[in-house]
This record gives sequence, structure tokens and C-alpha cells, in this order.
Amino acid sequence: MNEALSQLFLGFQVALTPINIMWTTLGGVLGTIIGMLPGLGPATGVAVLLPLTFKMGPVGAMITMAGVYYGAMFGGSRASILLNTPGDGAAIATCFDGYPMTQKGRAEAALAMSAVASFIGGMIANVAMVFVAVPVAKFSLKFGPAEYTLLMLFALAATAAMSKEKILQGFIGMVFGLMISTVGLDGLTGVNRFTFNILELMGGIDFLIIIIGIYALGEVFKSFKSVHDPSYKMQTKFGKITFTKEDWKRSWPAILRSTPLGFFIGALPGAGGTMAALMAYNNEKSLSKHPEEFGKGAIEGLAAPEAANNASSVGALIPMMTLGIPGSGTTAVMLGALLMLGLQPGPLLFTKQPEVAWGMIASMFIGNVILLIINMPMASILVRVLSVPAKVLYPLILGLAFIGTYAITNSVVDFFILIAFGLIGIFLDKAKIPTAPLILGGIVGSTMETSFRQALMLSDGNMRIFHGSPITKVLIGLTIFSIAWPFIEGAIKSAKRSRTA
Amino acid sequence: MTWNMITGLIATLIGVAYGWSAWNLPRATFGSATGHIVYPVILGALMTFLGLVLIVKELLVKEKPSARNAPKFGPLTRHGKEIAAAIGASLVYAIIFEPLGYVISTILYLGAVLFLVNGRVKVARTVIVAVFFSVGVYVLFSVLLGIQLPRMPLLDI
Repeated sequence: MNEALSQLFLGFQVALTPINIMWTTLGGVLGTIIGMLPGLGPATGVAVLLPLTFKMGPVGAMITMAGVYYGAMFGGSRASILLNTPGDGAAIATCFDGYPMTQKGRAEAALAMSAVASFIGGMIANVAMVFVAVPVAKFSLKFGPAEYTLLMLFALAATAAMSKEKILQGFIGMVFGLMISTVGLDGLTGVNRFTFNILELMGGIDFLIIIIGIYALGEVFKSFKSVHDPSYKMQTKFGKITFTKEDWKRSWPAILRSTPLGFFIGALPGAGGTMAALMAYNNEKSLSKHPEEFGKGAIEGLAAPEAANNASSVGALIPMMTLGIPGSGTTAVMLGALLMLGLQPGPLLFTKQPEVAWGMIASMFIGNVILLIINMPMASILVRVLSVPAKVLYPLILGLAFIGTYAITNSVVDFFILIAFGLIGIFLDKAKIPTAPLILGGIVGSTMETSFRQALMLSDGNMRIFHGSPITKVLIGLTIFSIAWPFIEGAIKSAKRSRTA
Repeated sequence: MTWNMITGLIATLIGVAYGWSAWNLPRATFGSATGHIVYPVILGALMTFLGLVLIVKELLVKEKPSARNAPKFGPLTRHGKEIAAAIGASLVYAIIFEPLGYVISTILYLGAVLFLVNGRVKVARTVIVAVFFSVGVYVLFSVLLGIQLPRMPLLDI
């Protein structure tokens, strides 16, 4: 407890330097802008803005990327409220009541409440993170290579299984991601694997390029469909961005209930912001005394998912930072970025480089305050970005994707890989294959293989090492459960249905 | 032919090809002789299995192909043509990137994509945006961030 606080104090010393406050603001503002654009969410934001962080050093880079992440969560709701087009999945639930409020002429109240709910959700989750991070990191020091292999397997399986009826497609994407990560020169034996004698493939395929290909190129190509949509018009003149006392009275219990829910769901592998927001929304609806108002502009129906998705974005950082295992697409992108900067997130990050880990955690407190200021008084300036035509913005994202790729590898060969994965992104969308398992598989793939082989070396090839210790048993159980759960849930539902019918 | 069927077929194909080439990888000369082979073979087998399950599932369900679950073949829609043109432009960009240098190639590329989505209206805006973005990014990356971008060979900008 005291240890966490003194570490947090150290973090604030790092985060409160003028340069780091600047990075926090920059990350938050850019994240908000990307988050506002329909179809583009935090994963795209972090991927496209990555090259900006190259010269910042680890602390600055981490602070900026975190800023982009929760900035995008703030921003995602703007387009939901004003245009009924969510910036990303986590903002879908915000449309349900946010857009009806705009139609009723209450856009100002909706914008203000979503900013305040996001702020409170984020802040409370930050406090929770301060106290949870160290114990989790300490516990994970008990993990050997076998435990790590299984932990990654669990995170992957849970993410793939989360795609519900698309569970097979989810697993196919996951294995494909794992396969890509095996391309290149094998570090342990010096054998070239799957390089087809192409020299450039020997170093492996940089997964960040695949992410930019799928999330930036693919998303922009898909959005070509909507850029000609003439209905893309929105309110650009606003009164004072604020809400009434009555609004607050209705919303605060919803915010306080949704925050812990969001935080917890975010920390689970695979679940993430979309699910947190939808669950919070349904939860409020079922608790409400007047559920009939939901979907017609009930302000608590807006506040709940907003608090939940911001809390979940903080929760999602916990497994990424303390275990080095991402639980969502965006944190997978962040992990990839950190590895490229030479940082190894995981338990040792907290002891070896506390200024990075705690600097980032502290910066999130500051960032939330900054974003509240940006999103309340300055909201009317910021949403002007939305009135810049998509026809101009989307081509520029393409430009950013290419420059980002070049900045990562300095090689034009990767442009072709980028374009290929832009095409694969379109295919994945058409075939309804979820992207998160693929991205996750690609990012943790090589670490997972290394752990797997280390474990087998330790045990001299005996598979018992994967199910001998209590921790491995629990992890195997969790993995099986997460795969089986969608089927059990389906069986329960159909049993219920047949009983009522 | 539904999208799921296509996914299943591709997955099976990838699984078999990948697993087969993993199996035939050269044995290592030092360290564990097959250490680098076991894991990819498992992946190949898993992929093949998943692909086959998906195919069998599709055969059992026998859903009628519709616009929602099956691809439509034939001439490209306007949207499809735009995507194809944008991808073509991207490929050209990749080819001219180094010979022409960052600024010129990016002006051409962005100009092309902007023209593609905006058409003949607002050509002035297209040109201004393309030029400002290219020069701005060049200054940001080369001067401020110190990331080397290909310069234009003749004029050296």
C-alpha cells in the first residue's frame, strides 16, 4: 500500500515535468481527434501515431501512447453523439442514447455528460490500477516459461472465444497471427523459416506493419463506401457545453456502478471496451425505474457506457504492463510498440524501470484532467474536425500509414507487405473474421514460442511441465472454460427457450 | 460459395502448406535438432483442423448463399473500383517512393487518392492538401524527428 503510494509519488515527479505534460496533452488531443473519426479507434490511433514517439525516449513514448489510447476513448463518443456513427466498437453503446439526445436538441448536455462520465470512470480506474498493479506484477514473478506459455494461450483463447458465433473464425485468425510470427530467422537454431529465400523476410515480418495495414489501410479502404454519403452532416454550432442538476442526479449512480464493472471487464483478456460498455448499458436499463426512456435520450444510458469504456481501457493496461500480455487489440499494438522501443513490459518493468511504469500511471491522472478540460469548454472547437470532410481526412490517414511504415523499418519492401495486409483487412471484414485474435496472436506469437521451447528445454522434452504445477492447472482450467463457455451459454439459452416455449 | 466456406478452404490450404513446409524444414546443426519444427507443425495441424471443421459446419448448415454471407462476383461496384484504384495508386507509390524522393512521390500519391474520392470538384483543395501534407510531414520527420526520408535526387529536397 505505502509502497504503491511512494512509487506513484515518483511517477508524478516524472509525469509533471513540462515536457511530459506536453506529451500527455499531445497524445490526448491527437487520440481524441483520431477517435472521433468514424471507423478509426484507439488501435489505429496508436499504430498511425507511433512514429511520432520514436525520439521521445521510453517514458515520453509510453505517456504519449497511453494518451492516445484514452484520448481515443474520449473522442469515440463525439461522433456517436453527433453523427450516430461510433468512432470504434467501445462507443457503440453511446449512440443508443447519445444520438437521440442530439436529435432532441440536447447535444450540449450529451457532450458534457460523456466527458464527465469518461473522466470519473477513468480516474477511479486509475486509483484502482495503482493498488492492483504491484501485487499482480509480484505474483507473476512466480511464473516460469511453462506458466507464461499457458497464460498467453489463455489470453489468446479467451480473445478468440469472445467472438461468440464467429468462434471458429476467431481461432483461424489467431493461428494465422501465430504463423506470421514464425516467419524469419530462428534465433535459437539459425534456421530460416518460411522466408521463401527472400532476404527481407529473414528478419521476420514486423507486426506493427501488419497492424497499420489492417487497421489503417484496411479501415480507410472500407470507409470509401461512406465518404460519398451526403447524410454526413452535423450540428456545428453549440451553446454552453454543460448539463443540468437533474441530469447529474440521474447519472451519478450509473457512473459509479459502471466504473468497477468496466475496470474488471477491461482487465480480463479478450473482453475489452465494447463489451464493458454494452454490459454497463444493459445493466442500467434493467435497474432503471423507467427503462422505456432508454434509447430515447435517457442521460444515464449515455453516462453508464462512457464511464465503463474509459474504466475498461485502464483495466486493459494491467495485464499488458504487469504480465507483458495484452488482452485487447489496442494493448497488443501498444505492446508491439514498446517492444520496438526496447522495453519489455512485464513484472520486471516495475522494478527495473519504475520511472516508465509509474510515470505512465501518474500521467494518466493528469491526462484525464487535461482531456476533461479539452472535452468540456473546448469541445465545440474540437468537433470542428468532424466537419472537415472525410474525403480529405481519409486519404491523409493513408499518407500517415505509409510514412509510419517507412519510419519503422526504413525499407520500401514493407510497403508491399502493408498493402497486402490492407487487402487482407478487407477480406477479414467481408468474411467477418474478427481482427483482435489475429493481432494478438501475431504480437505474442514469438514470445509464446520462445517460452514454449524454453519450457521443453527445462523439462528435457517432458510435457508434464505444462500441467504439473498448481498455477498451470488453474491456467489450463481457465483456458478450457473460456473456450467452452460460449457453448455452455448457448446451451443454457436454448434450454431456457424450450422451457418457455 | 459462402464467405465461411472460402475461409474454411483457405485456412485448410494454409494449414496444410504451412505444416508441410514446417515438417520439411532443415534440421538444426546445433542446439535441439527439431526445436524449431515442433511448434510450427502444431500450428499447421491446428489450422488444418479448424479449416476442416468450418467446411464441415458449412456443409451441414447448407445456408443459401445471399448478399450477406456470400461474395458477389461480376463487375466491380463504384466502391470496389475506388478501392482497386486506391490500391493501384499505393503500389505505384511504393515503386516511385525512393527514385522520386518523399515529397514528390507523396504529392503525386495523395493527389491521386484525393482526386479519386473528390473527383473533379475542388481540385484546388486537393492540390493544396497534398502539397501541404507532403512538405509538412517531410519537415516534421526529417528535421524535427530526425528520421531519414528519401530525398529527391535532382533537386535534393
